[in-house]
Amino acid sequence: MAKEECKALLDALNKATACYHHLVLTIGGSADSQNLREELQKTRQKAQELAVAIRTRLTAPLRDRGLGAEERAEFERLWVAFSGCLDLLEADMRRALALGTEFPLHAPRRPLVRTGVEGCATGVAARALSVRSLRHEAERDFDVEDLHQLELEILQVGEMIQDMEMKVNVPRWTVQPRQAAGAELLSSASAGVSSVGGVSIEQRSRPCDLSKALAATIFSAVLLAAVALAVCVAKLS
Amino acid sequence: MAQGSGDQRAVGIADPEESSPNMIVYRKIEDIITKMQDDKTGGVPIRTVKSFLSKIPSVVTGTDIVQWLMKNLSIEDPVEAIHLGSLIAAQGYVFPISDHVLTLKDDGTFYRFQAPYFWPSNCWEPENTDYAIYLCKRTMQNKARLELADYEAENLARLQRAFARKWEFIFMQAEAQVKIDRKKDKTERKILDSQERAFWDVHRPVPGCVNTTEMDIRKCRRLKNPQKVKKSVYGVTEESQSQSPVHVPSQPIRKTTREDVRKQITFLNAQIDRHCLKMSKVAESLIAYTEQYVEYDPLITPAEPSNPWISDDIALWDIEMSKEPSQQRVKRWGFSFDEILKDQVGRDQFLRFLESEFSSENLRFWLAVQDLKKQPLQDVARRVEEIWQEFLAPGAASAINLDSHSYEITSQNVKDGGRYTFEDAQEHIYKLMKSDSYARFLRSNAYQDLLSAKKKGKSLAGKRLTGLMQSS
Repeated sequence: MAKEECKALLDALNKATACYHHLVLTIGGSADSQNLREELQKTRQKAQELAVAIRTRLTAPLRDRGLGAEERAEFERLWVAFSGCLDLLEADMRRALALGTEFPLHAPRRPLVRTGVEGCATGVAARALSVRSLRHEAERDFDVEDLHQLELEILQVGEMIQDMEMKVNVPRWTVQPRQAAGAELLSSASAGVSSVGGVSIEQRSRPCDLSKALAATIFSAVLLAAVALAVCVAKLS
Repeated sequence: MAQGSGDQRAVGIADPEESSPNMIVYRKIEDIITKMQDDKTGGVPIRTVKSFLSKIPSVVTGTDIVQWLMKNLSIEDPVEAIHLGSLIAAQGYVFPISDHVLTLKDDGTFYRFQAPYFWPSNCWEPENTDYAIYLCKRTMQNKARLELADYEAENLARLQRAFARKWEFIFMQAEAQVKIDRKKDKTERKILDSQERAFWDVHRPVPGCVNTTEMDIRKCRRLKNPQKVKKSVYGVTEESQSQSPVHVPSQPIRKTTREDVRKQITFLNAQIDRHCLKMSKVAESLIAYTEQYVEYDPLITPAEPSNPWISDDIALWDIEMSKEPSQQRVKRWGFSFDEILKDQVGRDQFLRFLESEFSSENLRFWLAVQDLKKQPLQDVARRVEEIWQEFLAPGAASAINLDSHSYEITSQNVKDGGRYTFEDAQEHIYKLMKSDSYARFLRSNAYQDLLSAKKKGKSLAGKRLTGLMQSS
């Protein structure tokens, strides 16, 4: 079904946009590196591919006059989400260009800002591209050449947005949302609490919380010993 | 090479923005920040502080910052250093990790450096969409740790109403970002959270705090949708949601936009039809004017005998006060009718000429009306009567020649006389004199004689000059 396909692609684009946002956050900070720039490029190229695919799939049904009202409403909702994603992506790409120009990696006009973010962001990019891991294979001046490429791509995305607005006439004010605006938050809040509980349990098993795990085991051991002693005392008396 | 041209291009594009006052300040702050956190050249010590059961990554104490500022920027007074630091913090370059209020304190509070993505110099005013995504994310995360403050909850409610149609997308994006967040390292999450929170403290500050960006939710929305300026945020959305989509609602809103476009088209057409002077013609007139008046400008052509303001010799003024005009002065009367009316001597000469032609009442009327405009208010009514009696009343002593239309208007005006009673008549007479008498005056013998500088006049002036030179 075209709609399901579209939905799946849109989810992927959403994920890619969010990943790109996270990667752009770290440019210029202490986690900046050649690898980061490469990941940026790969993520945005993937996002653009997805965008083009979605566009072709959405434009046809929306321009089709004979589509039913229900169907059309569905597609319009997807359209709104799609244009929102594209706007965010374009804005982030522009910022990436500005930051990339200000913080060139090799011959730095200014050293990278020590924000304290040390981690490597490979995991993020890998998620976006839906692959297990990424190989890094760029040459030295990659970031500089990439900037030219980035400029071109920004223009392309801008054109795409413009094109879409011209071709498909979806007035924003007529799109009916599926449910009232706060509803998802309320429903997710209850789900979120439980999932957060799950996550925190998961986190406790991670190595960086070793000290906490150690303290917990020692405490429980002491507690057990105290209970055992109390039972013995009770038995004796 | 590529980098150089890339830089140049980027700088070229950013140039008009680079010179805006805010950008200049931001660049200065960024220089300070760069030096401050550069380890090799003696920056502030950034370290990870271990507290009970947790680590606080990558922080600086307030005291360290203040001391660094005092040492490296040669500030003697710690109060000044604190003030400077607070200004830097208010813009968002440095932020306290556990406080919403962005000031610098000279004690052990911890501060962190902001990521370049969030620096205000990257010239992006965040949209309400971004803010909505951020607030959404916060509600989805661990509630106990990151609960929304009152003003944030209010903002969230307002944005929900404003973005009702887009909310699905906002929610989707917030969810995706939260998912990515959860996979990250705990310290990294802390740092990123604090960075983002500090950024939004700058752009959507706690009510009561200084708003350095001078933007708020409503202003942002107005900038984005200029047509929707008049109604409030609640008005627009509630109206459009109250009716079912089947029946009417899109029509009225669409009509307004079409009307707007039509108005804009008519406006632009009017602009095109507007009379524009050709630059070449204007330049010609300007050049002609300057060439004509160049000899009368004492800054360019030194006055003769000498400029009294420079040489403290008032011979020039004496000559001008005498009733014998110089040739240059007479020439000026020929430039336009206004010139002759401006000059006292010119007026006298013109009056004499008109008397010879028996049409002096025109000029006398004109002069009387000019005089009327300067009278004190209590005399005005009386003067109006006098002028009327002398020049305009039927059977007047010096009757002037007015067309019937102006005459009627003037007689109406005289009923409640004021300074501008005779404005209409004065203009009519002015035009008459200009087209008729003035032209004849310029051709008259009297004027031509003055212009060719009669010997009598010249020798008088010459005598005076030589007399002065002998005496000095």
